[in-house]
Amino acid sequence: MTIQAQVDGVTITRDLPPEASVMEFVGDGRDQPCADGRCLRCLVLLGDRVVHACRVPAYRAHNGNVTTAAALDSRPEYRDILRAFRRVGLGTCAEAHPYLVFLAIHHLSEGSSPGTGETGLLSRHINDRCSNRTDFERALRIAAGMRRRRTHERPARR
Amino acid sequence: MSDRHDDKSLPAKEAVYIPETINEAMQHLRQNRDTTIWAGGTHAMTRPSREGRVMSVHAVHELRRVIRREDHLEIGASVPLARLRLLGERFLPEVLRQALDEVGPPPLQNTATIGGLLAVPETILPTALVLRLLAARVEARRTEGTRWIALAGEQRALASEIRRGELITRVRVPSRRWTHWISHSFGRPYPRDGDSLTVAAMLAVDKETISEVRMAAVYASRYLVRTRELEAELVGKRHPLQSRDAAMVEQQLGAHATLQTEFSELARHRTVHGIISFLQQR
Repeated sequence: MTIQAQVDGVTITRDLPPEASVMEFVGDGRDQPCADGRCLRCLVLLGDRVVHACRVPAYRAHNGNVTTAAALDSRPEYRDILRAFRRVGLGTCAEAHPYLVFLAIHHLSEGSSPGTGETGLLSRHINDRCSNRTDFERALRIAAGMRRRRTHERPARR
Repeated sequence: MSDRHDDKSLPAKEAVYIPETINEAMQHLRQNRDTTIWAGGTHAMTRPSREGRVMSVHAVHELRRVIRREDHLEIGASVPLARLRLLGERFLPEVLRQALDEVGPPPLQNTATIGGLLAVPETILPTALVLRLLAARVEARRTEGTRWIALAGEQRALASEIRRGELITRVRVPSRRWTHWISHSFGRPYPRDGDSLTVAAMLAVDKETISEVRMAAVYASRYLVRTRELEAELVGKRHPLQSRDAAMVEQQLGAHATLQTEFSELARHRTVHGIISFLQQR
């Protein structure tokens, strides 16, 4: 079947079998280390939702937008998260950084001020050696605060 | 949460059939009984080999609704779990929310659906166990008519009850107030891990007396233990449970045939003592 979608702003068209995943469609050469999504290395944005590229059929991306970690810097709505990560020093590990940012996007998309219980539920999925839960939870709180301030400080329309 | 990418024009229908209404889906099922039905596709993607045609019901609007009625909640089978959590923040039973939190890494909940959770073959997932205890019912629709399957009445995974040509359309969850609940998983229930265990229980207590109790455990996402006789015997007992009654629970639960033959020793211990400590907690 022919699938066409925007990947990081570039239109890609591919012929793939129905059971092909978004990961195969994106075809960025990443291997699939865990096959069931636990490793979180395959997270992408499909529209404005964070999904596992290895667990979503490619046809779901047809005529849609896929954003990979490589293009997150170009999305202004996620700058709060990237700044918060830099502030706590979470942006240094190339392996862990993308999936942590996607986890944060998922979390903050559910509410601007997530509670500590919800933050804890998320941070238990951190599974690499170069990041720790405390820093991640701190980054989430900072990002939520930045977003809140930005929303409240926005000048009223005339 | 936006579903914008779902609403755009769909890919060639000869490869994956993507209906937009239940009627279209039923018509397709009548003509192609060997069709494999996908909702979120999260389970299907871990098993790429398939037989026959594929129909993806993710774009069927009727299957994506959550309706709150006076005494129950009706959840469309294609409702993503993340959306269900958000919508149900105020009215979803707490124990069900707790079980939903346990479903995979959080982004998986953006695509996994409630119908998909129930339809995983030969597998009883923690959320499905909780739905059983809540006495949820599942609507299975075919061109000839509709039937409701009571989850609580099934010892096997729901997938084995669904016939060819049937589509899971709705899950009906009674809204009853439970005062105490647990849903706890050990190990990894999905993909099926040989040693995973889920213990779930709920309790309605009125003036320090148990008015209703439901409890069950699933080992290796396959072996289900629930003793309705014991649940009936506990009604009317004092809460927190006295040690004499706890001994009775230990004896009766420990004597359950499935618990003795299929559960590992550790899983047996965790089930019995997990339930007893739940019943003894204030």
